[in-house]
Amino acid sequence: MTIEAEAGKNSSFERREKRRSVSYAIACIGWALLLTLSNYLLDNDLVSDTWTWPLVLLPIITALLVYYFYYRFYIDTDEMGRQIQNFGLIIGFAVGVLYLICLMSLENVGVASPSMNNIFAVFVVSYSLASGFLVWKYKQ
Amino acid sequence: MKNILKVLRAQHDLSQAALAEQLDVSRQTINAIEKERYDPSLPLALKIGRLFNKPVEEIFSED
Repeated sequence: MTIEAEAGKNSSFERREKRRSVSYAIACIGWALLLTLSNYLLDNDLVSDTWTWPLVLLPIITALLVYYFYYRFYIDTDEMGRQIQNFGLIIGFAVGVLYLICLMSLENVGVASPSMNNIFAVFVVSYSLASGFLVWKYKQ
Repeated sequence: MKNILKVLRAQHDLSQAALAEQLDVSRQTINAIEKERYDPSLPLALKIGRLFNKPVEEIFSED
């Protein structure tokens, strides 16, 4: 079949990529909501002992689902999409580790030790900025 | 890397979206290659060559 003859086909790639990214986004939102709810209920002692472990485990199980959906998104995106993701992950990891090292060193002079939440937030922000920069660069 | 992808696409009367579909990549990837912002991998370059029935070095050249 010639390329002209196939030109009118629907873009299955873009439909698939959209489906994967929406699934991933929903999983992220679900995880964040469950984590918030779980922390709220446990911190305020609003549940009986029977529900403690399920509430502790629920965000962990949903985090695994988030990884699964991200993996499917990553595998199914095209090579440029993967390059954007790789760049974001590398920068996010590098900035997160640098932040951790800096604060661990600064602990010796009385600066508060880094919390896991802060490290995670630094990773997410630097990952988003780096990925966004590459998307912007390729769209120029 | 310089390339003549836009010219080839015009010769075959293909839109970016249609070419992207043929190559199983996003339209943004085709756009970035045409604008010489993104260099495709060897497998993708070979796929482009096969699709337009041209050797890769005829489509892509060094700056």
